[in-house]
Parts: sequence; C-alpha cells; structure tokens
Amino acid sequence: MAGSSEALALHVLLCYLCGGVTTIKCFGHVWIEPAPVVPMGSNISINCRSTLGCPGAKFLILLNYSQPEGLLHPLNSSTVQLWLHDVQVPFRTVICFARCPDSQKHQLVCGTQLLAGYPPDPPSNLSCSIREHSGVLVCTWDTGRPTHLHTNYSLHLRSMGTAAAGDTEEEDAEEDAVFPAGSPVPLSKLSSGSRYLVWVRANNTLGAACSAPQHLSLQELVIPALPLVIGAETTDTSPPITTIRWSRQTLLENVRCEERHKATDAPAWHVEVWDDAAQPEPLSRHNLQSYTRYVFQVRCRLSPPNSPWSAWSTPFLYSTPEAAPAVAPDVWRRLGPAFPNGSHEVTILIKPLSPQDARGRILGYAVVTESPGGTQLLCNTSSTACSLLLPLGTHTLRVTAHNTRGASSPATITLGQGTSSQEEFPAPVAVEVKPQNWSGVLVTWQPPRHSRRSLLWFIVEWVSTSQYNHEEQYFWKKVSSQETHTDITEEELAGGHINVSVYAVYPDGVSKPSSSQVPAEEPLLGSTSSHISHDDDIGVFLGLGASMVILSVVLIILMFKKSARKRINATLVSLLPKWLFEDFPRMENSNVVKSLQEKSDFMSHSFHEPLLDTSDPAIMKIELVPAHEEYKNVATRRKPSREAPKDRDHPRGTAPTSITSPEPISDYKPQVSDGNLLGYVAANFYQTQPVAALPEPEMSIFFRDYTSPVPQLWDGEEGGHQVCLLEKINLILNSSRSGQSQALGSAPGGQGSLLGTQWGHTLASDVQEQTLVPDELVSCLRAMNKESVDIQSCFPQNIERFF
Amino acid sequence: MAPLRRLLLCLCLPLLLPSPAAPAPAPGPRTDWVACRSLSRELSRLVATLKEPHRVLEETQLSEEDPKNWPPRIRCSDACDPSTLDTNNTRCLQRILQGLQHYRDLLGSDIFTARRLPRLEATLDQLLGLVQQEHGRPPRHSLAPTETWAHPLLQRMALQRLQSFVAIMSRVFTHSASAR
Repeated sequence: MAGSSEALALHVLLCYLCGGVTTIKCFGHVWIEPAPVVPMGSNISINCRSTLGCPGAKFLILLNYSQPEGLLHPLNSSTVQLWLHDVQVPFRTVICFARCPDSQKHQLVCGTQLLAGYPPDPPSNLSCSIREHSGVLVCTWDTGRPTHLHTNYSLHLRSMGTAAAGDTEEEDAEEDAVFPAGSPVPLSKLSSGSRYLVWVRANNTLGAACSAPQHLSLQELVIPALPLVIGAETTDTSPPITTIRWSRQTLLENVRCEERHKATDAPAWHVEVWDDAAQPEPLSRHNLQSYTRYVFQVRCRLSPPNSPWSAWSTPFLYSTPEAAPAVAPDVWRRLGPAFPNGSHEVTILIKPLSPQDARGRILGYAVVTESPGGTQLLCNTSSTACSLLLPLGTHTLRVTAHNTRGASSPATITLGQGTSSQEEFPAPVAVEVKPQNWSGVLVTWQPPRHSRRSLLWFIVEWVSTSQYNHEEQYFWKKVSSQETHTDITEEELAGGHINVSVYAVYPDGVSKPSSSQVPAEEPLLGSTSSHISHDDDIGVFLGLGASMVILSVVLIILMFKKSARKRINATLVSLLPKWLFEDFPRMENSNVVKSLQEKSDFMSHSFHEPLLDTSDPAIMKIELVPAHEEYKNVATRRKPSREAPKDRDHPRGTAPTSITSPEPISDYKPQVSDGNLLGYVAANFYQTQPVAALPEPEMSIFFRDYTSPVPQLWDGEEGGHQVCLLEKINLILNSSRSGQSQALGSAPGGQGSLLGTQWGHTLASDVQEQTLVPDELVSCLRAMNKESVDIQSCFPQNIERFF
Repeated sequence: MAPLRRLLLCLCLPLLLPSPAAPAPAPGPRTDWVACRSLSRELSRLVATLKEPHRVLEETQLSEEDPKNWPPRIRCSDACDPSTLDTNNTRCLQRILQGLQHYRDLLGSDIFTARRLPRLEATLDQLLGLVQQEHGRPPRHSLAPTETWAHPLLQRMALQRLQSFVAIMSRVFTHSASAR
C-alpha cells in the first residue's frame, strides 16, 4: 500500500513537473502593432509594458537577440515603444527587458515573435495522375513566390456530374471535396462520376488565392504500369546488335511507351518510341558500342493526348561485350644501328587504341613480317614498343592489336626510305618550330612537292634532350596527310632541347626526315632559365647552410674551450688601449697611501702602531659603522691589536711583511674597512674560532680581485643552499686567483708570499680566509645571516662546538 | 493555478518519504560509483565549457514561473548528505535519476532544436544508463512545445540549472566512490 501511494505521488509530482517545465516568468507584456504578422515592407511598432513596478526602469528591446538601431519612445512610466520601418526580415524574435535603478541585471519583461511575408500566389501548373493499381489520385502544382509564412494548400474537387462550375457558393461548399496538400486522394472518395473540376487553394494570415480550375477525367489520368526488363543480349555479328527484352505489366489498352538509352558517361539520351508496346514482351534493338556500359529507361502513358506521362523507370544498366579491335593501331619505327652483315636494329612503336577502337581490353600486339616463306612472327608483346634485329631485305612489317575477341586489321610499317630517296619518296619541306606562349611549340611544314605517290600521312617525331643529365626522350605522333602543322604540348617537350623531324609516309615507303630544332633561347627559355635559377638558388642555400654550420661549430668550440677564451681575452687586451684597464682613482695619489708609505719604516718595526694612527679621519669613521654584536666584538678586538701576540704564535708571522709593502696597492677603496664586516659575518659561522687582527692592506688587494663575478654568482645562487657558502667563497677565490693573477703578480714577491701565507692559514686555521671575501658577498651574507643561525650546524666548526 | 500546484506538491511530497517502519533498502551493490563519478565530472566539465551564444543574455536575469519545482533539485530531504549516503543512498539516487532524466528530456526537446548538444546528451545518456541499472527507468515525458522566442532564454536557464545539479551530483558520486 505504501508502495502504491509512493508511485501515485511520484506520478502526480512528475506530471506536475511536466506541466510547469517550460514556463518562463514574464514581468509584463510585449505586443506588436498593427499585428505580429505583417506584409513584407510594413511599418510596425513594438510595445513593451513592464509590471516590475519600479519607476525609472531602463528598457531594452532585442530583435533576434541584438539591439535594433531605433530609439525607444516612452509611452508612460512603464511602457516603451520601438518603431520599425520597412520590415524586410521574415522572422524576428522580440524580447523586452527592463532594469530597475537598484538592480544590476535586466529582468525579462516578455517576448513575442514578428513575422513578415507575402500573401500566397495563385498555384499554377496543376497536374494530377492516378498510377495504375494504386487507387489514389495524386496532384502536384507550383506554389509561386515563397510567402515566408505558414501557408495552407488544399485540393478542391467538384464532381461535374452534380454541380456546374457556375453554381452558387453555398452549393459549391456542399459539393466540393477538399483534401489537404501532401496527401493522396483515395479514389474511393471520388464516387460521384469520372469527371471533375479541380483547383488548389492557398491561404495564410495575409490572404488566399486559388489556381485556375481544370477539368479532369479520371480515366485519362491513369498512368499505366511500366514494363520491366527481363533480359538483354548482344550478337556476335558485325556490327553487334543488342536486344533488350521487356515484360508488359499494364492491363490497360492504348498504351504508348518511349525508351531511352545512353552510355553512362555520355551526356545525351537516344529516345525511341516503341511500336509494339501492346505486345506482352516488347523488344528493343540497338547498335551499340562494344565494351561499353549503357543505361536504359522507359516511360508510358495512355494514348489520349492529355494523359500524363509516367516518370522514367528505374535505370537498367547493361555492359556490351567485347569485340575485336575496330581499327589498326598507329605504328612507327625508330631505326637503330646497321650491322656489317646487313641486319639492322629497329624499334617498333605502337600507339594504344582508344577505348572505342579497342572494343575490349587489349591483350597485346603482334609484329609479323611477310617473306616468300610465309608470315613470320617477330614480336608478340603487351607493351607498346618492341626492339627487333631485322635481317637484310626486310622491307615491310605488319602490326596488329588483339583482345579476347580477335585481332585488329594490320598496320603496315615500311622500313626502306628508297634508294632514290628524295625523288621517290619526297620529304616535307619548310619545317619550322615556333614557340607557343610558353605552353608548347607549333611545328609547321609544307607537303612534299612533285610527289607522284599518294601520301598516307605524316609522322612527326622529336627527341627532347635534358640539359642536365643529357637524357633523351623520344616522342612521335601521326598526323593526317591533310594537316601541315601539329602542336607539341609542354609535357611532351620534357623541358629540354628538342629536335623535330617530319616524315612523309607513302604506301610503300617513307621519306627522309625534314628536321628543325627548337630555337635555343626561345621556347624552352622559361623552363631552362627557371632551372638555372633554381640551381643557383640551391647553391646559395647550400653555401649559406654550410657557412652557418661552420660558424656554429666555431662558436661552440670557443664557448666551451677555456684556453680559447683566454687567448681571445689576451688578444683583446693587447689590442685595446691600456687606459681601459687602468684603475681609477689612482691609489698612489691617495693621502692614505702616502701617509702609509711615509710610515712604512715605522710599521716594519712596530706592528702594533700603524692602525692606531688617527690622522686619517676616513678610517676612523668606517670603524665606527654600527653592526651586529659579533661585528662589534671583533672590531673592538681588532682596534687595539691586542690580539697581535696571539697572531705571532701562529705561523702567520709573515703577515706584517705584506703590510709593510703597500706599493702594489693600486686600488683605492676607502670602504675597505667594510671588509671587516665579512670577517665579522664570517665570524658568525666561526664563533668558536679566535679572531685575529686583520691587516687592512691585504683586504685592499683582494678587493681588487672581486668585482663583477661575485654578485653574479651570488645572484645565481639566490635562495640556494647556504651550506655551501664557504665552498662558493673558496671557488670564487680560486677562480679569481687564476683570472686575476695579474693584479697579484704585479705585486712584489712579498705579496705573493702573503697570498701563500693566507692560504696556508686557511688550511691551518679556518678563520683567516674569511678576510678574503669582498663587499658584495658581505652584503649578501649579512642579509643571510639573519636566517643562518640554524645553518651553522652544517659547518664543521659547529660540529666541533657540539662536541 | 500556481497555489493549487504548490498545494498538490506539498500533499505529494510527504507520500514520497519512506515510512519510518519500512526497512531501509540495502545500498545498490551494482552501482559503478567510479564510473558515475567520472561521468558526472565530465558532465560538469562539458556544461562549464558551453558558451552563451547570445552575449546580451549574460547580463540578464531570468525567472521561472515556479522556481520551487522547476527543474528537479537535490534538496536536504533527499538524503544526499555523506552520513546518510553511507547507510542508504536509495532516495538520493532516485532524485538524481529523476533530475538526469528531466535534463535529458529537456536537451531533446524543441527548446534545443536549434542548438543541439550531442556530447552533453551522450554523457547524460551514459550516466543515466549507469544509474538506471540499479534504480529502474523513470517514465519519459514529452515536453510541451514552447514559443520560439523563448528558446534561447530557456536554454540558458536549463543549462544553468543543470550545472548546479551536476555540481551536487558530482559530490554525491565522489563521496560514494571514495567511500567504497
């Protein structure tokens, strides 16, 4: 019970959903004046009244979902109007939206559709028929101009036996049988006699029209059933006769039929009227081409002239059988070398037969010679060329083509040109070859003069020689004896120089050739020059490509070979002016350096004193730059040089010697004291290490070595592992030592020893190397240092501290 | 007419609820949840990629005649929440089936005559086939013809509703597929 109630409820619910499924809510009304369906070209107005109830609403009217050009005219606070002139679009959707001032979106007011069209034209060409055995009346007519509107067509039949055409409308309404268009009229509904008055009525919203009434006799409207094909055959006679056998299907008398046929690829029909349409099995005979596909159709009607023809029957396809080739093939020969024994080589050339002449599939060609001993087969080939070695005395060859049904008549080839030659078989004269608009050449000649023999035809042969590979291509064609010119197409030219020869062929001999060459620069100029330019282009492209490859290889080698880079560097340095590499400002002009130089002697004896000199205010200022705690600690340790005795305990005792030789200092950097920052920062990593007093001149030297590479390297590692910081520093130092060795090398030997001392310290004590890091790294390190506390565990010293 | 329909609906809806005494049907063992999830996601993707052919409609607001009942929606009472789905998914699937069938009918109606969406229809058909295996085929309804001018509006509205429906349906299938 519960299940049934559920099913009932579901059904009611679904029906409910079905009913309201496609309703869209309108907030107003849209209408068209004078009507939603108007004649084409009318002027109309579209009205939109909103019930949204908000004053100052903005209206939007869309025609086919786009905004029209016209302006909206307000009729009152809730209604607007759009005027359209000369409506020429058959169908338009009209939708009106309104947007209240406090809303962001347009609300649908409503919509409608606008139809524009024409009243129907009177139907014309009314034609009715009744197919035999169908039992229905079918009528067709032309509707005239498209109305663009829904138009109803109805067929009206009035029996002439009960009412006349001039009766009153009321009587007509009672007697007329009306049938909708598109549906056949059953004859069972036309039982009021066999003669009717028929017309068609068309009507739509804009009007109605009727065709001219016609008188119909149902007996004359019957279309007889069409005969059917029951067989087809072709005789072996010459010419072959094809017979199509039909079977009569109609039961009517006085039937007239027509048959038509054509080859399937032919455009025109051959129509024949049957004389024996009344026979039970009519026959049609045709002289058709062999080996061809034909189509046959038939149509019939009753004898009265007003009776309608049937449509043509379903096509019947028939292929005629093969027959022996109708004509002999065109043949020619190409003479080869003659041998001492009198034999000579000959190539027989055969033109394939056209399909009409072949009358079947050509299986091959036979070349025979007739000798006193009888006919001798020299060649039997399926190709169109045959090379023969003919003995001395062979004068005539005969060539036949054959298919499954037989052989063609023979074509004769006369090999001799006559001993008397020109007099016996005169040759054509005045052979000329003229170019024809870049599409080929025209060969002209004059017929032989004083010929006592009848001329059969001309043979035009030409040999095309390619300019590039010197290959020869041989062509030939047969030309009627009435012609004195022929065309050689572009394809037959084969793009090379050609040599044209024209022969006159007589029944028992062939003339000598009359030859001419294509002018060297004229006909083939286009193709020749294009080939040349093409070759040039290829050469240019190959050269460019090779150059690019070589250049790329060289560049790659230079990029990856360090020694090559060094050499280039050295070459550039030697070539460029020296002032480009000089350091400015000059250190030797600095007051600081001068003062240091003045006190060098003193420094050499007293290591503790020089940094206590407060005469240079710049140094004093830099020492007062605030830094983090470690910086301060180190600075305070360094300033009094009280750590110096500890340093003396280290092997770094040679450091003062470098301090006492400031001559190699060529770079003035007052910020040198910032270099201490590195020491301080580095001290962060080496907190457990004792910090030694750092001689400032050393830092000056090394600052000079670190200019551009450091920031680049550092930037490249931005955000990378800080664990490898010191490794990077060492790498930089190493690379800079190699790359900047000149700066160091320029220093006296004492300075070289200083460097060695420094690295020696690096190995012995990790602290001292920190002084070698430049300012750029210091800034980075300082920035990093805030986050690098935890990273200390990565370094060995921290491990030591943990231990 | 609308109040009468609402009243009828209110009367019918309680009847749809299963009686408390009735035993809960066992969850459908043959439902291919993974396939349902995949198809519902594909459906969601297809709907999301559809473009409004009339851009002017993107700035408009459309309302249904009776927004409560058109089209079928997944409501709280349909037991599509995760906890209920784990124990008894019948009611939820019935609602999903109803909605799928409804939208399939809509896509085949005269509303979409001028704008066929074959991929959407095919995906809906596949999903319907999966769900119907277990829960039967609901009766199909031929929708009443609509006015031509309203077709693009109805298309837009139907696709918007379908998108919302598919979003919730996808969640149901995703939960069910991951829970098993």
